[in-house]
Amino acid sequence: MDTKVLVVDDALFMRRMLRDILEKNGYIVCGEASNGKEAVDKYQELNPDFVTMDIIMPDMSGIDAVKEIISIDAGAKILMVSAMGQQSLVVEAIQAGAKDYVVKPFQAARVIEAVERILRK
Amino acid sequence: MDMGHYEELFYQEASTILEHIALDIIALEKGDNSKLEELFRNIHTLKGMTASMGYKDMELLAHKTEDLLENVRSNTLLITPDFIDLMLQCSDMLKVLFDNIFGKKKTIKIDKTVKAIKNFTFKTSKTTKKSIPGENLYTIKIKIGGSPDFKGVRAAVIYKELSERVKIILSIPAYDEMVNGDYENIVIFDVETELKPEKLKKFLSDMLDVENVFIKTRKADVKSNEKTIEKKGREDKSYRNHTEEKQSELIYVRVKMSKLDELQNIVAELIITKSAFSEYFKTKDQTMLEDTTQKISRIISSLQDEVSNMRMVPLEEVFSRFPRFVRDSSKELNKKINFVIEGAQIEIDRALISGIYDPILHILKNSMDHGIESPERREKLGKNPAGLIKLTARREKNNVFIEIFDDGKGIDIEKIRTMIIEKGIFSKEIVGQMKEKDLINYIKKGGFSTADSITRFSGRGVGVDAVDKIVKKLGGKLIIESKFEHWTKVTIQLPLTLSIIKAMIVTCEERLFAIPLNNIQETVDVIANNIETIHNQEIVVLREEVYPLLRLHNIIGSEIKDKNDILQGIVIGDNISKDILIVNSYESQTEIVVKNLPPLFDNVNLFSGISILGTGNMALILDINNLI
Repeated sequence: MDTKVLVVDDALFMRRMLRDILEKNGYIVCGEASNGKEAVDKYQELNPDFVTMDIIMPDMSGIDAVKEIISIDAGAKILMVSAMGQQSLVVEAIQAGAKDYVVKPFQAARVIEAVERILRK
Repeated sequence: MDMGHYEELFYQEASTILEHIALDIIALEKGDNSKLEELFRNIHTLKGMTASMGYKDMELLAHKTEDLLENVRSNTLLITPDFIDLMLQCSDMLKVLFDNIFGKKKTIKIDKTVKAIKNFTFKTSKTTKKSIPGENLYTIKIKIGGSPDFKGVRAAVIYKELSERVKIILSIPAYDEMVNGDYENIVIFDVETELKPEKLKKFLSDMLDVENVFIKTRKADVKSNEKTIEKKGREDKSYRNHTEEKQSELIYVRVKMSKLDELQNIVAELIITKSAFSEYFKTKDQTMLEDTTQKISRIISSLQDEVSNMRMVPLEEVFSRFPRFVRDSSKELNKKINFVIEGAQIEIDRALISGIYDPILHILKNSMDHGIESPERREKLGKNPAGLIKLTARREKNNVFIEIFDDGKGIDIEKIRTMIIEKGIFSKEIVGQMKEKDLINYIKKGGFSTADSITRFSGRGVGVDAVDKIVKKLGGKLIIESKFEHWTKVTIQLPLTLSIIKAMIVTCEERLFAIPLNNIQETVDVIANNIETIHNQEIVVLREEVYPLLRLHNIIGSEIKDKNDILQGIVIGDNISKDILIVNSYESQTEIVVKNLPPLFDNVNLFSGISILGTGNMALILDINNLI
C-alpha cells in the first residue's frame, strides 16, 4: 500500500526538496502545509501516514502543531525537521510526541532512514 | 578505497597503542584498576583502526579481546592470574600480527587464542551465573554518534523510546544533563524489563545515530554483599584478617591539584623560615628566634590542617550506595520503606570510610527486616503503611555521628530482661533494677537477638555484636536507643580522624602509657582496704556497683605489689563491661599522634599503637577493648 506523507514547511524550497526525496523513494506526498495551523487542518483532512514538520513557522509553530496533532491522533508519526541551534525546541517536540528528527541541511539517505524507522514501529 | 597512504599513519599510531596495551595489562596485574578503562579504550581503538584498514585477523582478535575485557568491566569476570595470562597472550599475538603486516613473516594462527578466550569466558560465566539471579534487570550502555550539536536531542529520543518500553531505574547522566548534551558519547541506563535483551538490543541498534549497544544482565550486588557479610559476622577472625589485608593493599588517592599547590606553598614557606634559623646562629638575636619559632608553629599547624583536609572524604561516597540497596531489599521483603539520607556532605577520614560501609549495611538490614513491620501490620497499628528509615550524619566537635533511625517495632526490653535471667547472667532482682539504657546494650553481646524469626534476608540477628566489634575496631562506639513498638535508633560514633586522638598519659613502673579518652569513663581513687577477692579476681565496690580490678603493672608483667593505701584508678570500658585499671600516676591529658607498631608487635594485643610525646618520650597506647 502507498504511504502518504504530509510535508510541512514555510519555505517552498524545503517543501520541494523533501517532496523530491520522498517521491524518489516511493512515498506519496499527499499534501503540503506552510504553517502549523494549516498542518493541523490538512492532517485531519488527509489522514497521512506520517508528517515531516518544520519548527519555526508563522501562524502556529511546529511544536504547537505537534501537540495539536498528537491530541487528535495519539499515534501520529511526526518527523521533526530542525535547523542548527534549535536543539531545545526539538527536545520539546520529542517530549510532545514527535518520533524523531533530522537536521538541516540533510542528506536524502538520512531522511529516508529516519522515515523508514518511524514507519517500522 | 585505496588505504595505502594511511598505512604509515596506522603503523605509527598502532605501534604506540600496542605498547600501551601491554603496559596497561601489567598495571592491571599489579592491581591498578584505574588502567582498565584506558586498556579498554586502546583495544577498542585498535579494533576500529584494523577494521578500517581491512586487517581481518587483527580486527577479529582485537574484537575478541575487547569482549573479554568487557566482562571484567561489567564485573562478570574477576581479574585473576589466568585472566592476565590470557590478556598478555592476546597482546603478544596482536603484536605478532602487526609485525607481519609490516614486513616480518612469522606464521601464526589466531584460532587457538580466539578459542581460548571463548572457553575462558564460557567457563567463568557458567560459574558466575549461579550467584547472579538478576531478574529482568539490565544495564544498557549506548554509544551515540551523529551530530555532536544534537547529541542532547538524540539522547532525548532514546530516553523517550526506551521509557515507552522498559522501566528506567537509573540513567547516567541524569535526564536533564542528557538532553543538554552533557555527556561524552556514551549513556548508560539501568532498566527493568520483561523484554529479551536481544530484542532490546535490536530495537536500540536500529535507532538513528546509535553506534553501539551493550546490554548486560545486572548483578544483584545486594545479594553478593550479603553473603560476604554473613561470613564476616560468623568468623570474626577472618574479618580481622580481611581488614588488615585491605589496609596493606596499595591505595591510590585522587587529590585536587589546588590542594597540592597549597601544600607546596606551605613547604616553600617552611624552607624560607628555615634560613632564618641559620641567621640566628650568626646574630644570636633573641627576638628573631622567638619570631621564627612562632612563624614555624603557625606554618606547621596549617600544614597539619592541609594534610588532614586531604584525608577527608564526604560520607556520600558510602551513603550513595544505600538507596539502591534499600530499594531492592524492600521489594524482596515486601515492605514499603521511605529511605531518607541527611548529612551526606559530612566529611570523614579516608581510613574510616571503607570500614563503615559494612556496619551501616548490617544495621540497615536489621531495620528493614526486623524493625519495619509489614504494610498490613503497620496499618493495623495506625502507622503509616510505608516505614521510615533515616540515615543521618552529623558532626559534633571531633566526632562524627551516623544515625540509623527506623519507625518500626523497636526493641522489646522485657524480652532482654527475660533472656538475661534465663542465661543466668543476673538474678531477677538485679535485672529488675537495671536501667533500660543498660539493658538495651546487652543486644550488643552475642546471642541476644530478639528477633522472632530467622529470615534468609538477615539471618539470625545479623550480629549486632559483630557490628559492635567492627565499630570498636574503628575507634568508635555503638549506641542503641529504642522505644518498643515505636522506633529504634542506632548511632555509630566515630572519631573524625584516626591518627590524632585525645588520650590520657599515665605512668606505670616508670614507663609511659597512653589511654584513649573515649575508652575512659572517669578516674577514681581506690582505697586499698576496700579491695576484695572473689574467685581469684580482685574487685572493688564503688557507688554500689561492682568493678573488676586490673592492675597495669601486672598486665605488663611486673611482680611488684602496690603498697600505697590509695591507688589511682581509671574506669575503662562501656556501659556493659566496666573495669577499673590501676596505674601508678596520671600524667596529663593531651592530643597524641598515633603511629602503627612495627610488625614485631603483631602478636601483642595489649597495645594498639605508639606515640611520641612532646617531651620526646614514647608512650605505648593501650588497647582497652582487648584488656577487658
